[in-house]
Amino acid sequence: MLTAIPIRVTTDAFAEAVETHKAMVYSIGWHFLHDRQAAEEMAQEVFLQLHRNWGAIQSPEHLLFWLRRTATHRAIDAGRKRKAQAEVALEEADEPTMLERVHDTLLSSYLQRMVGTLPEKQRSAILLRYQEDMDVEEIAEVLEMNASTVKTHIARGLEFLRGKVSRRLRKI
Amino acid sequence: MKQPFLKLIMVGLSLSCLCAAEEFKIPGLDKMAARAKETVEVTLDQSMLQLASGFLSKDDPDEAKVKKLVAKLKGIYVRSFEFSKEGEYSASDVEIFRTQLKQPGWSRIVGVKSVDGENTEIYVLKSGEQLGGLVVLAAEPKEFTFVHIDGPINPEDLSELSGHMGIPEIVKRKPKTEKKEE
Amino acid sequence: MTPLEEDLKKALARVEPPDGFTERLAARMGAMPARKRPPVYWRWAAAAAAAAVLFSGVSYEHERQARGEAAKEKVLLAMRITSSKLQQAQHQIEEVEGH
Repeated sequence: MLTAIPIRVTTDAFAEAVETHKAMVYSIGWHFLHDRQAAEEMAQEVFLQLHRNWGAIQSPEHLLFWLRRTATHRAIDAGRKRKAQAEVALEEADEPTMLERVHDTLLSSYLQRMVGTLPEKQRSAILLRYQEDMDVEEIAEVLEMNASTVKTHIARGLEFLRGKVSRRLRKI
Repeated sequence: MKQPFLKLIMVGLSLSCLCAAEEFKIPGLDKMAARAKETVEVTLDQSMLQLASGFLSKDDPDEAKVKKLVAKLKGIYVRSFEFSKEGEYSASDVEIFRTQLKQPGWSRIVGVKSVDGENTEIYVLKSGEQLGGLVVLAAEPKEFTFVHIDGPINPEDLSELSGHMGIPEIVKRKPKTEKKEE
Repeated sequence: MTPLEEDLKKALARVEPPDGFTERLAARMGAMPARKRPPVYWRWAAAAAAAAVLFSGVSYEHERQARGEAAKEKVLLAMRITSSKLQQAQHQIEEVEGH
């Protein structure tokens, strides 16, 4: 006879997981893709995948790890599909318009756009470090790379962003 | 069918078709689960299998065999439902699974019905010299099981597991006559 | 943390998804099964929380250990079930062949 293990998808547990983590998952998509519709689509796909794989989740910590990893990888996949559009956005972001200089006084908004132009691995590492406040080892596990590579990506990403910010300040 | 099922699996291997295996999407699973008295659900993707592999002991003979078996797998998916009475699931429920197995590359190599209502089907995904995947559908009056092993696997590996873990040994029987053709 | 890093943290703060996100997700999923009993892993989580080691480096390794052991047990269970059903098929074939 089979041994029954009562691991089931229940409305309460899954709904609670969605409410607890939807901002985190959506934010990874939004900061990566800079497209609200694409970010929502990505986030919905992540939770649908979670629903299918609920039986593999072992603990709340594992759930968080699983969501961060899945969201990051799906954002990378979605970003690759939008590569042509991203190249256009790169040109626009690189040369802010006069209107942007005048009205875009919020550095946050500019930084968000600049993060969105980073290569995908740097972008992922920066997001997980500064959106999710994860340490290098945790990021390495999510991105399936070694810790020194993560450090390199973060360092290069910060160097690029530092350059962008200082050039922007010179233009204003 | 006049040959042991392992030989049937080897016949299936001889057909050539390189196809990628993907996790099946089975609509209606939740409905079946809702009617079940007990559910066993195992979902292990490649990363979980790799994690598990690190914890399988090389010193334990059974675990060592499993460790070797799962090393190249992409996933293992099990759904098993036990119902309190007969008639809780229908032929159309089972047909949903069969529909997924009409994807290119999949072939049914075993289909057995017994008089007491136990029906077992085995499907393989052909991938060069090996199986690229294995599906078992086992339907009994009060129990239904779906197993999908995704990735390269040798049938001998599964047969070797019998005799351990509380499962009585599969007796490999030689055919009574020499090399019968299908 | 440098001033740029502080700015990045503010820039990359989490944002809520648009209104109706959960409803749209539920619509895609359809009806979910009714709750019959709590998932087993929440009981494990309650035990872990009682130990109060969630925020230490040691707990991360313990959590990974627990995940690995649980995954191993699931693999072994899946193998048992698969072997059992293959054996069942073989017995049925033998019955049909009259062995």
